Amino acid sequence: MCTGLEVAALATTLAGTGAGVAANQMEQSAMQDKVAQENQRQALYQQQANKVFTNSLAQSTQPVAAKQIAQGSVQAAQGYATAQRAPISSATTSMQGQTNISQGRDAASQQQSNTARAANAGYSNYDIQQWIKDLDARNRMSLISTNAQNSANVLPSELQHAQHSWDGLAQGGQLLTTVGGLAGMYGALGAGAGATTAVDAGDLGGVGATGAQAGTSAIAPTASLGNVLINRPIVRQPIY
Amino acid sequence: MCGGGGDTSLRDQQAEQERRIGYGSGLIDKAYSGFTPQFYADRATAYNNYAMPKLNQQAAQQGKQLDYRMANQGLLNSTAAGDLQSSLNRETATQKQGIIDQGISLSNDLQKNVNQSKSNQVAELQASGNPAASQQSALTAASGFTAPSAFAPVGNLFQQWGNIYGAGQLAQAYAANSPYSTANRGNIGAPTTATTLSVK
Repeated sequence: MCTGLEVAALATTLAGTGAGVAANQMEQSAMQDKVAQENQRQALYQQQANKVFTNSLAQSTQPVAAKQIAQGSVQAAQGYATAQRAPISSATTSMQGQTNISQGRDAASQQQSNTARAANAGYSNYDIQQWIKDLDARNRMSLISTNAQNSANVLPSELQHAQHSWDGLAQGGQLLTTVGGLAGMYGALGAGAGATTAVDAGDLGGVGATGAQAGTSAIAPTASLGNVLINRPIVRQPIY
Repeated sequence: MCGGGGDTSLRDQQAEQERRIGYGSGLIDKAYSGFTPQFYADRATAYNNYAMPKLNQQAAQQGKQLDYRMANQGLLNSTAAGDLQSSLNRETATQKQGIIDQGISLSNDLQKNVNQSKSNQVAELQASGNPAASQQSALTAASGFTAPSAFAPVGNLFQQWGNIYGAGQLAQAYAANSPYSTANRGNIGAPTTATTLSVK
């Protein structure tokens, strides 16, 4: 049969243990929350990087290449045409020796050369535009990567804090467990002493009865925690 | 203590640094915002404006020398003079193309340098996380590119043509063994020796 003290001790121990378990679970939950939050942030960074990469990739398609080559060609062709139209500062006398045919031939040759050279010049425009586009994308992705890395670097610290965020509750639980344990021990010891005395007293009763018959008497002393030995029954020998 | 929160300052610092880098990146973009396609096209035009008069000057000089040589040989208004003039015209056109190409090339180089500089500023910003310093650095670098650059001297654009036609061909034009020589007029187009090419 449990005493009030033992029940209280048991309840305290249970409360302490419960508090410890609860603290553990709260800490685990807090750590999981931190990881989940960081995963969410990293997912956002990944989305940003994907967007930059996708946009950059969209500028590397065949139609864009054709457009950039054409732009470069047009720029060069316009430059050639403008330059060819500008007359030499003083016409030479020898030009009079040129026939219309040879002048037409030269003009056609220049036109052909301009077209071919402009087409070639277009590729340099494509090259530089792609280079700039790639560099810009790399810069943007590098910024995102740095932000993501900085964010991830904070996570271990957050986990450490989360791991100890419910230490107060755990310590309180531990204290309750300790108190409950001590109280239980106290109660157990007290109950044990009472039980021993009762048993012994019962035994002694029998003995006493026997002793009475035999001319002996037994006195059961009061149980005391101070000296367990005195719990032992003192049997007085009959005086002959 | 329940709930945690001692790490808030670290997270706040990280968020603040991210904000600063984003802000600094915007400042760098702004510092380089003047480098538009028109800016680069203008730089190419500036080179054309610088080099084209020099080309014209040299072409005119070559034309005059051609006139003098033709006049000395009594070949003005001749077919030979016409051919040489045609050759000079083609060479002039080629040199004009070269100048245009050079202008475009300078423009492309400038674009590369500007964008590389911008990239360096972004990298510096990431390392320092200091937008103000990055902005100053970007403005300084950008102003260095906006200043007009000194173009390299054009040089003698007709040196090769002069060597081949101005001196060489004219000197040989009426030499004894030249196909243009009166003595060899009948042999124009007829090879003097047969050459057999074998392809292995």
